[in-house]
Amino acid sequence: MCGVLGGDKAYEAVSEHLGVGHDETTEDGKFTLEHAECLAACDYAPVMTINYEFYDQVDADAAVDIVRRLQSGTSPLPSRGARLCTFKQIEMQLAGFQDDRPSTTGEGPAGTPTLAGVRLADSVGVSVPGYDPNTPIPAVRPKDPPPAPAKKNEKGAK
Amino acid sequence: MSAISVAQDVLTPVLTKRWLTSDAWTIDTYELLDGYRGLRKAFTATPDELIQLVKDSGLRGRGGAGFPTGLKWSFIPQGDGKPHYLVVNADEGEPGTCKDVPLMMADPHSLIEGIIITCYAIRSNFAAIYIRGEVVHAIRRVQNAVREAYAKGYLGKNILGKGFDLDVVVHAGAGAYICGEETALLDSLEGYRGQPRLKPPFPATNGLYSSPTVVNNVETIASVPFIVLGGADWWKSMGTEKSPGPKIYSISGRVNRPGQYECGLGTTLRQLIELAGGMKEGHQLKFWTPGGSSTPMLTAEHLDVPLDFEGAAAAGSMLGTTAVMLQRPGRPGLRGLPVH
Ligand SMILES: Cc1cc2nc3c(=O)[nH]c(=O)nc-3n(C[C@H](O)[C@H](O)[C@H](O)COP(=O)(O)O)c2cc1C
Ligand code: FES
Repeated sequence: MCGVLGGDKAYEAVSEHLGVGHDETTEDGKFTLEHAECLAACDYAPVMTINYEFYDQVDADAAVDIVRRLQSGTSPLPSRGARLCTFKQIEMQLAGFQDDRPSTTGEGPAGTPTLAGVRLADSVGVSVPGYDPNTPIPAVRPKDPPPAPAKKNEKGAK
Repeated sequence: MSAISVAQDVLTPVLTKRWLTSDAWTIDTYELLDGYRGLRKAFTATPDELIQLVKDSGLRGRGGAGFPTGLKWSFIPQGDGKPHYLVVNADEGEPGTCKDVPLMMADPHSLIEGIIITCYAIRSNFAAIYIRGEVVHAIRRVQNAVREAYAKGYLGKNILGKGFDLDVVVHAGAGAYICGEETALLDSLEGYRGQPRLKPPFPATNGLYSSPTVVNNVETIASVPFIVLGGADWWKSMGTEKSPGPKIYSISGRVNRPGQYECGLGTTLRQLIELAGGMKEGHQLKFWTPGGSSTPMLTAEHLDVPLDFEGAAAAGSMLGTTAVMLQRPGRPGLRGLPVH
């Protein structure tokens, strides 16, 4: 859970619901709660991630609701893309292995904040004038052969 | 001042334009929308002509410091017999910054196309994309784009029959803010703990594996195909004289429509707030940061400061990543943001 725009309230609500604080795990071992740094989604704030999948614009009620659904054994759909997978599966993906589940790239258009500017531009008919993809790339005369390379540094010690 | 007239004045949908098409992240749709056309055109020019073109465009790095991109590329020694590398900085760790993730989600091929053109220009046959590990959804989209590009012959050996080879790998970072700093990032890529290196030497001569390396931000590289297609003069028709081109401003905080707004560099906060539907009811602007939480705070006095590299600096702050955060009054400005 990141901390802006009410994120701290949502965090507190989840913390109270689960009975654990930052970096603590519930007795059944199923949930570990963490206060997150900025998750590069401030336009969707406050955001919560579960096993690295994003739940965007969650207030306290929404956050607790998502946790409740997990507790009851359902898998609430993240806001952008793939279904939840296990932490182990995510670790494999971060290590560079391909995620073989179908449609993990996530379908559907981007969210409202992502598209805010370009939709506004579209609605008022703005496009940048003067764009011609056939504009020639100016020629550059090949340089004279480079001067003999300056004495090479001895191999930089690392 | 109405939102419509401001929108007409400042919005410049270039990098974000394809985002409107919901499956532009697939290669088939990307190709229908002029995708890989910039690459084909780039291959008709020489590498030096491309470096000169990017110099002429005045493109400056979008990762925070605003270093001229063409100049950075020209520092790579040519004919030195060493391998050259391109490393794309997709760490997006500066708190408040949230532009590269949506770009990689909505239009990852523009990044791949930019990488191929850049590598051709700096004579590199290997590029790495370093993405912060927390955004697995974006990592999957970029990995998917890389796979698609290989399958269509845009990556690999003898690309488009032009005799140019390029391999691209996607690397997931382990979630440390400092790894966004370019030399720490290089250490992290090499498998060491990410810690900034002493400079000099600079990455241009001693970067990845001690070889000449260009490190550029995602948005910088994604700009390249557009410059190749539209030309330097068209690029400079947007933005300001010293900070030309379009820029993705990310507006977050107490506004009605937070999000990504691509405008010419030099747009003011007053205009950005107007685009974002105004401040939320009952909120007044007090403090704001123009480019991520490490850029010095500004106040309501600075509503009309042109937000380009020069303007933000003259106001005592920094343009940074144009992650504009509007704090609510009466609240400690940086509450909720991590302290490092
Ligand atoms: C502490 C620190 C964190 C940084 N984090 C990022 C980052 O997350 N993304 C990024 O592109 N640049 C970041 N930078 C800037 C990079 O060091 C580098 O200047 C940039 O990637 C160069 O690309 P550009 O010329 O295209 O902007 C950071 C710099 C510092 C000092
Ligand atoms: S502060 Fe929540 S994602 Fe940036």
